Amino acid sequence: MMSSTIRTENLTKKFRRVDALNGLNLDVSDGAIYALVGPNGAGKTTAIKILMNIFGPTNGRATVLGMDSTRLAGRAFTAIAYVSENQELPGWMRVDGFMAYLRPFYPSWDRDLENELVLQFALPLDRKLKHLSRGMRMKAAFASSLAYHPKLIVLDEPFGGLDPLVRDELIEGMLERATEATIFISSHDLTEVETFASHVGYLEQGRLRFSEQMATLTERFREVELTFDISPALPEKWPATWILPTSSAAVVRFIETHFDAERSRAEIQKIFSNVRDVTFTPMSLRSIFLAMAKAGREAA
Amino acid sequence: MRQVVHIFRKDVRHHWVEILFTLAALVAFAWDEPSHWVQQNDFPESRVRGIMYGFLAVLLLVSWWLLIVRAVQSETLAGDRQYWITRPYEWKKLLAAKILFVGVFVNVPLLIADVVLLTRAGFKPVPSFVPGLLWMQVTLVVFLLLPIAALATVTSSIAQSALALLAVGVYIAVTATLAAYIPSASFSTGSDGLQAAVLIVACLATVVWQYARRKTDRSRALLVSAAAAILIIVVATPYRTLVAYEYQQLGPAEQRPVQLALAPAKPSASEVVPDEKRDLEIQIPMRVSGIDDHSFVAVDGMMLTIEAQDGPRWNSGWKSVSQLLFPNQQLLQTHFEVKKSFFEKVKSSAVRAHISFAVTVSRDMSPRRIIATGGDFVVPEVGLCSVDQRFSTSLLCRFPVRGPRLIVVETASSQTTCPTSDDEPVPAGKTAHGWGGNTDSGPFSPVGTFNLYLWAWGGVAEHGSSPRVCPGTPLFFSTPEVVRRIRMEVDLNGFRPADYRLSNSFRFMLGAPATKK
Repeated sequence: MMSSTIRTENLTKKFRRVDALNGLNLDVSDGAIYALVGPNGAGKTTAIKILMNIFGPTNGRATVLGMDSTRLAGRAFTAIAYVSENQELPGWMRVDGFMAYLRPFYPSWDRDLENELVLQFALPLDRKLKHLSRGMRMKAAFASSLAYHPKLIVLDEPFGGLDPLVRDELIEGMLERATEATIFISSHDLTEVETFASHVGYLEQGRLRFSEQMATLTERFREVELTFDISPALPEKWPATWILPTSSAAVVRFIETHFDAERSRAEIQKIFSNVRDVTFTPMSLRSIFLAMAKAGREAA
Repeated sequence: MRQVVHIFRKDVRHHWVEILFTLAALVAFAWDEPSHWVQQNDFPESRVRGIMYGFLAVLLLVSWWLLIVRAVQSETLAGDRQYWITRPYEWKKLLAAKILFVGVFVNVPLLIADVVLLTRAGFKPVPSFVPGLLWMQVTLVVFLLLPIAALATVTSSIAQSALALLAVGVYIAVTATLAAYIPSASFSTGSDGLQAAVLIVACLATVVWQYARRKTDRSRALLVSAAAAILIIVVATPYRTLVAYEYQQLGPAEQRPVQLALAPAKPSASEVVPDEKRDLEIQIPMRVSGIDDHSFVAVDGMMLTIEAQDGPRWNSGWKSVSQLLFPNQQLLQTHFEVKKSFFEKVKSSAVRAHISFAVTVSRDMSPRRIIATGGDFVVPEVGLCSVDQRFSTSLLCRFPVRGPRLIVVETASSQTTCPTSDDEPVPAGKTAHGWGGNTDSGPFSPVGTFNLYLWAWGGVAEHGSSPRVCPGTPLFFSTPEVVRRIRMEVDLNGFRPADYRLSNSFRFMLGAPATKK
């Protein structure tokens, strides 16, 4: 049985009267690449900042690498890499100075790996961090976070505002160099996340709507299109697993959130006995995310 | 330790400009400082020197403030976006690195400058100065560097720190203004220790808490609470009780160290005109007698109470004064500001009035006889003194680190070596005194100065020429020890307030603001 790198129990965070996180229960197993997705203001950054002990939780608890997150400090960070899109780096330092400054903090710092990362990301060593472009700064942050073989890499919206080339370089670099690490990432870039995440969690209004393996998630979501000869009678109450139902003339569309070919087909037949044609279309993570976000807004 | 040095070296690389600025400000201050150890009699020059001294002191303060804020905010504690908070920094080592930085670039250079200044002032930096110098460093750290650091830990930028400093300035002004309206607050220092303790504990807790936990909102709340607590202490301190505790009431059978009695009012030289101020000033002369030889009575505080026949009562509260009574002194002038509305009610009637005096009795049975020279001459237990070259009416003394609590100099008219003239004859058989003390050096310099001004022969201005000191004049220096602190009540029999009101012309002479005629 795999152990957990990150585990949260009923994690809650309130900012005055606003519930940023509401009873978050999360379990990220060793070696997983876990993507935490959700709309703006869902609580992703808050969750990560609690995990990194930047904030303390209002209630509940979190453990990171077996340690209570509120005790995470000092040496514990020799095994953790944290990169955030809005992290403030010491702009007055040159890239080489930044690397040299961080080196003694990490017993496991790998100079060869550092050099490889600098080459791979084409980092200009003699430039000050404040004079770098946003993409270059992120690369510098990545390089400085991967060079010591962290066991856990936490990334908070790392690809926001970056051009596709830089994004690809960062993802490639990360996946190549962090084969033994657990990666926990929050991102809006669902297309990219879909290509490498092994697990995904969907956070909305501070609550975790689902958390599962990427394969099972994409397996259970389907866009469903029903075609009729004449306009069908719509049910007063739709099944709970069907979201965003729409109808126009002789076509009904919805999203099945717990797709199972036989069971779903049977349920459709039961509600729409006169259905002529049924089409199940697999969905991308982006489509699933958008559908969930839209359904969440409508429910609210 | 490696991490401490590593962070320290990074800070040195990052803040070399601020370090140079600080060192330059300190060098300029130390360079200029000795010019204040000599008499400055020429008006434009002394004025320029005074401005320069103030400017350099402020420059030094600003440079330290900037250096500390920049060093602390290299690893900003307020906020949640700093890269370093998710790096393997250990808070104790980070704090130690900052302390090391401030120690190396503030405390050590100042200590070196202090030793240089002591040497330049003619005081060999013998080990006896070390405790004093270290104590100066401790007070600097506790009352200046620590509060600056505390503010730096709860702000995230220089601009925020400057605003916080401005807020502190406003707070101090408000507190001082408030204290000025509280009776007796200006005299009693009884709660100063408590206020200082609150300040130190709050600042220390803030710094440690911020480095250990980075709970900025709570740390800010702690500082604000401490400021509120100090304000409450200022307002709620029972000043009169503290004065009564510090200065015990003299028992009826005990001998008074000084006899004080109301002296007749002198007719005012000019007409008393209506005053538009809320308060007006009265001057009550007191006859002085009965002071033992070798004793000195320092009047530390006074309180006037006036009670009219028909009931109204007014009390000035304790006011701080600084007057020293000598064995041969005959007169003490006291000044009080009386509420105008009350004065108008009672001014022409005989009222019951009394003055409470808080006095410190000191004694030195063996004053030291020292002959004045043309240059510096050594005064044991004090330091070095020299005669004011221009008027010869005062001595300028400088001392290392901490001056005497009280020093009194006496010269006899019969022993003067100064040339005399027929226009201003030297009165026979008179003595003149000058006194000073209760002075610490600093806050940044270990060399303190004070003037011993020989005011008048016999303490009365009408005795012809002013007392002067010339090379060869014998001087008697006393550094009296405190014998006791007591409170004395003196009834002002036959007191009629209108007789003692200070005329406008005299107030003008004293430097009081002129009133409309």
